[in-house]
Amino acid sequence: MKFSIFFEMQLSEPTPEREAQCFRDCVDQAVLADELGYHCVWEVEHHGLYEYSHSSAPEVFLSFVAARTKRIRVGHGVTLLPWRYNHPIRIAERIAVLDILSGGRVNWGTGKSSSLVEQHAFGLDPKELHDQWAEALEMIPRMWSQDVFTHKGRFLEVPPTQVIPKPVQRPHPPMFAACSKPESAAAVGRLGLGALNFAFGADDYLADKVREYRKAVAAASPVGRQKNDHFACTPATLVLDDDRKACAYGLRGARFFLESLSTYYLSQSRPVGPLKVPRDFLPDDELAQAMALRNTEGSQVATIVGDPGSARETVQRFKDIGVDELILVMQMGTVPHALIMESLRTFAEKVMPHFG
Amino acid sequence: MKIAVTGGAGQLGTEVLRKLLALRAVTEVRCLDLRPPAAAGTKLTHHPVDVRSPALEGLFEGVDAVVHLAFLVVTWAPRERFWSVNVDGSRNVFECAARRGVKQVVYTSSIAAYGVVKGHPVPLVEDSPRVCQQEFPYSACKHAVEAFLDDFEPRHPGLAVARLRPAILFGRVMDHPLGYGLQRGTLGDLGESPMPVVWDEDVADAVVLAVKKGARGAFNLGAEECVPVRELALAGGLKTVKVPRPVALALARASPTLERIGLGRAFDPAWLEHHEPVMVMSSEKARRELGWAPSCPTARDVIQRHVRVVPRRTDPRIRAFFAAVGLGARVKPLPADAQRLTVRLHVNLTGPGGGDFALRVAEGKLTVGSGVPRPPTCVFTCTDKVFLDLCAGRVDYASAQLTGRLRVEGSPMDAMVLQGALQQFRRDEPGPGGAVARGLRRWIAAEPQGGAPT
Repeated sequence: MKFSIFFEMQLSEPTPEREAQCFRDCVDQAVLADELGYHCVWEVEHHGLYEYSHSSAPEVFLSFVAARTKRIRVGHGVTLLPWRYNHPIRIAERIAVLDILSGGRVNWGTGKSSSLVEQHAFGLDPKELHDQWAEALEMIPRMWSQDVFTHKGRFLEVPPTQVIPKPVQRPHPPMFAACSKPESAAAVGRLGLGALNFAFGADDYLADKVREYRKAVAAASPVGRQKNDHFACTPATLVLDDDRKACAYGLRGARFFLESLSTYYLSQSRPVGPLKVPRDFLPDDELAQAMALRNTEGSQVATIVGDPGSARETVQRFKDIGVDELILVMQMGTVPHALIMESLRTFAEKVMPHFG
Repeated sequence: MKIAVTGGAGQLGTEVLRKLLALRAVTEVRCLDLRPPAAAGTKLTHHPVDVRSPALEGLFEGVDAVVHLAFLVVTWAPRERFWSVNVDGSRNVFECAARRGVKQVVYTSSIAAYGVVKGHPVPLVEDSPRVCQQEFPYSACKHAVEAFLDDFEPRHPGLAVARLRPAILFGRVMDHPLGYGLQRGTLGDLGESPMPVVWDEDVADAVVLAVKKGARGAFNLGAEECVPVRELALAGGLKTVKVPRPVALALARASPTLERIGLGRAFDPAWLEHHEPVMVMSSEKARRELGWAPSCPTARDVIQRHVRVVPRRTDPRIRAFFAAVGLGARVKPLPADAQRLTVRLHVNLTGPGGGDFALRVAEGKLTVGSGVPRPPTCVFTCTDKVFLDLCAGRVDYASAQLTGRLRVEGSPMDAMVLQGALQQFRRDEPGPGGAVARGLRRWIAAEPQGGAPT
């Protein structure tokens, strides 16, 4: 099983100084993760999701991280493919350059965005997102493998063009796509893509997604030049020797994360200004309830908070279900940088070795 | 572990399915019932089948245990049909299980298997004599199935049979006159003998324990310290209603005829004719051998739980919220990615002001109704009070879920339909929709009382 880290660049109550500090902190976390043997640094792309995600230029951040690290992979989780966000030629070029400069360490995830903030800012019609994603997804691996690239599609037309440079990984960097339901996991599998799954629900629901994905990927006609049979999950995580402290900070972070997420994604609106979400610790009685609920029968398999013992129990559940990679979301708004660093170390020392 | 449950769509069946589906060791649950189930989960499949059907055998293929709950209880049916569903059906279940090499059947017999007659020892224990009571068909059926098992079990030593004998089931859903009365805050006064009761989720726990342990033999399941109805009512703060027996009997006897002309449901009048005997059970054996630890150990706990969790009259603010969601869905289309969904979300709100609501998404449209959608794709459960707190913004969805005060079973993404409705309700929006939501929010926020204590 592989263990990676995930960056939203999430920040409660940003100021320009705190925002800049958040970027520098994330670099430090990535460098430490590299030293500790984590597999990959995954970075989102969002635009205008104030507080929820300040990661609008992941290609810059990941290049910087690649330069500062030796072996850890650098992953886009995900690049937004509708062409008004990123023209497919620009994506193919940037990924190839990053792949060359990082020494073939790029993982490339793809997505289409699902918040009105982003869609409206770039003048996109939500109904066309899926088809635009699919069109770019077919184009880009072809740009990497063909000397002269030509395209005539529903949204874009490219006359014979030499798209350069080419990536160093052969035939190209591994490709992924985001999914959240058994049907979307199957759709990702049918295209031969690795699955970046948002962790939600109880064990059986996740097991069902993995099953649907494996079935589909086995019979896939890959959209790239190779199949990537790989299922990853993104649990909210904070692991410290002090169980209660890990839960207090971890659940406060998860709460901020989830409430911010539903503000942007479920309200059918474009919130502006500070989010109306809770930023405080859970009261003692609620913290005790939440701690007692962890890893009980029927509980969600979505967060890894607590001491190493509790974390091992949750990781075992993911392993039993057949997940290949856990992309740990430690960088949640409200969680101090020092605790994230401690959590990265504790997890690497006391959890990872059990799942070598 | 794979388990088949006959009668999985009923009162007890719903609780049994929910508990089995929550277990990580359980990989498949087959609900064998003519009605679709009220539980949700990816491990659950539904097979509409009559317990008397030979097709049952094929449905037991590969299962580790059968839980046999299907039984006509209070519903009135012609005597031959009542007998054939209950007795012939049960025989068929056991015989099919034996033929398929199933290792265990957990069967819910009843306290009535002892015969609802005078002269029982106090307390009744599992090997107390059982009396056949021809004049009370339900009891006679339970007696007959146990008599059949007395003969069947020695012939099939490889098949472990557990016979659970619960008292009268109280719970969230009681679709019969006793339950209807309780929902109005009344209990019919049925005289001086103690009423044997038990909370249905506790019986479901015993079923799961019996399955886990591969238990054999009989187990009484009842709350302790059972008291006459009058005292039970007092403990729950309920009124006792003294219906003259001839009136109650006449009504019950007329109910099959009334049902035929579309008035109400038919119930077996025999239930009113047999209630006087003293039946005090000891559940010591279940506690000792199964490790049964009921959440409602005494009759007082049972009635108080009922008063605390079972909806009586849906809070008008909750009704108004769902009316607003339904209205909003008519004027505003769903977001593009939600239009592709097929959702049957059961919003299960417990507490005196709670109720059942159904949010359905089909063909790109959201509709709101009341009642339980069957089968649901997702079940959302919380108390009326927590729900009002969510509406008013006093509690956030994430912490309610992280602490378990809000529970989502089945497909978690489907609950987002409700989560989205709550989000939209709570945000400030210009225009008439926003004004309605603001007014409702003020109304909800102004009256923190009225919900159930949590």
